[in-house]
Amino acid sequence: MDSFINILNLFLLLFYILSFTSYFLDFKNDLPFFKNSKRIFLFLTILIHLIFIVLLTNELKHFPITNKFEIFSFISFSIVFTYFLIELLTDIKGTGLFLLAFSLILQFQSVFLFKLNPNVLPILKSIPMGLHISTAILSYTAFSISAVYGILYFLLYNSIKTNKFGLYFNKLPDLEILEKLSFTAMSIGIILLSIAIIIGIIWLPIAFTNFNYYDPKIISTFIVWIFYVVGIIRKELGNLYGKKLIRFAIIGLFLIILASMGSSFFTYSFHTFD
Amino acid sequence: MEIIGISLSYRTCSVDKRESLYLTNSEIQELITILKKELLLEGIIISTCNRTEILGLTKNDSIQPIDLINEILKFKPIENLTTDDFLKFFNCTAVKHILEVVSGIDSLIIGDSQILGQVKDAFILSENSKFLGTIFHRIEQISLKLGKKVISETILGEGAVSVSYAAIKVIEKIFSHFQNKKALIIGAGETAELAALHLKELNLEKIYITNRTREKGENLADKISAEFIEFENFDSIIQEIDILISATSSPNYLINFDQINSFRKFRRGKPLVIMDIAIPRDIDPKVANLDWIFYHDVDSLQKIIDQNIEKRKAEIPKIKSFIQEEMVTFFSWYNTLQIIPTLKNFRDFFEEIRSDEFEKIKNKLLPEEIEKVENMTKRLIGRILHNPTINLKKLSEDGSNYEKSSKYSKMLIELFNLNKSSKYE
Repeated sequence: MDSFINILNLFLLLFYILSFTSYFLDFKNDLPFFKNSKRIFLFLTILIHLIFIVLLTNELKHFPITNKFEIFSFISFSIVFTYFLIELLTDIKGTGLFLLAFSLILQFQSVFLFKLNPNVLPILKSIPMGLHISTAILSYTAFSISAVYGILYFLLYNSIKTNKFGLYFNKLPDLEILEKLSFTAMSIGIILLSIAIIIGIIWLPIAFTNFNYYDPKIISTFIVWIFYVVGIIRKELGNLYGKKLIRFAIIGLFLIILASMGSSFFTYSFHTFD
Repeated sequence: MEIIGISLSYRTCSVDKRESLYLTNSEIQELITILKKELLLEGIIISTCNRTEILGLTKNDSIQPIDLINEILKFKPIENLTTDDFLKFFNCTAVKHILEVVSGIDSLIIGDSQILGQVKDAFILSENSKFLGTIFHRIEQISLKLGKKVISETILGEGAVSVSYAAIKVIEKIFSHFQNKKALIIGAGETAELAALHLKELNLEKIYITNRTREKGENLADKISAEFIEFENFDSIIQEIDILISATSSPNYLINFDQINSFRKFRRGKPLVIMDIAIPRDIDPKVANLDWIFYHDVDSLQKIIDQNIEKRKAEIPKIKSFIQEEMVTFFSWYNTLQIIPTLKNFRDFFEEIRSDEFEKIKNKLLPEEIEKVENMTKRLIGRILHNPTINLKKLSEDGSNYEKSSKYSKMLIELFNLNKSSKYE
């Protein structure tokens, strides 16, 4: 079964490459074949990844979010799945390439870090833990998507300002849509992060005897949460819009990266399981 | 009977001449009546501001395109317009020409979206004037089919190719919702009017028009249900608008950098799209350096137009292949149409000889031999005629061999006297 899952993981990478290539060729060359088939490739990628996650969960007897291989794979899946929903609901197809690139990198890492480890700490097998981690991962995925839309916004903004009516101008949706997509992703992210924090606050003190509120991971997560909540409130009050909002989304992603690096690499945390 | 055609378009003469020869519907109907008398059995007349075309099936082989030119010049005499201002077409080139026209590749602006409708109207007019027969009905079918195919399978009609439409395309890359957007148009000339009409289609919350000549400005405002504001007061609303289009003939800037910069402070980051489509420019181009100001002039918009024209040109080989396909289909039908009566007469001629000869010997045969001999003579004639029949059919079915199959057909008619009522002499 191990080798089958490994082969499936490689097969999955192949589909990610196929999807990315078809989105790339459609974006760059407007080839009719890829215009029609890229969504099919993406759908197949999602389907295979879903099967992969189900098989993995069945094999490991826990939700696969306990090590880097599993987490990267899960984030990759959540990005493509979120994008697929966006494309289906809005029919905006010009941004897929950029999100798929992000997913593809994560899937590559997942393949290289492949390790099946059914013997994880019992705590990692509990349902609240699964919910806590998965909502946290999904929220960070949403913040990342928000930042990607932000980068696309800047690319288009500069194209229009500098009269470069090339690929970005022709293929990306308009600035207002990109701003809306970025803000929507950010809002979804804050809802999911709030759920992750609530589950954590209720359940972590029960599950961990060494739990404390001054844990670096908890503090950094709160900083991220406050940052985004302030941003969303400012947006609702009409003080954060356009380029300012986009800058905020991109800074938010850097803050997440800094917070994760700071809490994971430089300090001790009861939150570390690897 | 031949398909012939004449064409007067931007390729052959100046706009003055084209405009002079423009035919109204009633003139076309009148001309059709004249052409039907002596020259054409059926056909079509297309007349737009950019072209006048006559295509038709001649009453006999001696009629030439020059006869059509003489007829139209007699019908509508125009000073300086000569036969050299017309292109002349025969058979394949005539059909090819109408297909190129309907597909939009022969238009002044490649991919002109109006031409398909204009050709369609011309066919309807021909039909109503009882000027459409079997041949031109078929040409109508393939023309309209091709026109639709070009729209659905190519990008020939896509992308802006006028400055005012290119401006709208840029605006659409900045805003997605227009119901809460306001625009100001400075000027009421042709360019401003075109831009105003495009803007109207976006369903903006409000469009303001201003113009030095009040009457012209008010007329345009009425035309697009906009609000006219006095030219002296237009800068008071720049603060509230999202789109500014300027197309006047003013020799100096109407709006300077400092004005836009001062308005910008009150806009709190709300983007302002400025389309300066005037020559010389109406707005100081330095405003392009300001954050949240999207400034574009004719030069920058021309880049979009050039790109789109290149994209359209790249589609021409694909469309030419569609035209080729339609031509082959049409001429295989058309040539067969001409060859079938000849072949029938040819076979009848041999059958006449066979049955005549058979009748002569029939009485000398034994009863059991009659059927056998008759079948043998039929087989004999069948075998003799097999190759010429098949080859001539093949030749005519291949749309590109029209001239050859027509020549062979005429040769058969002449050699075997197929036109005469009693061929066998």
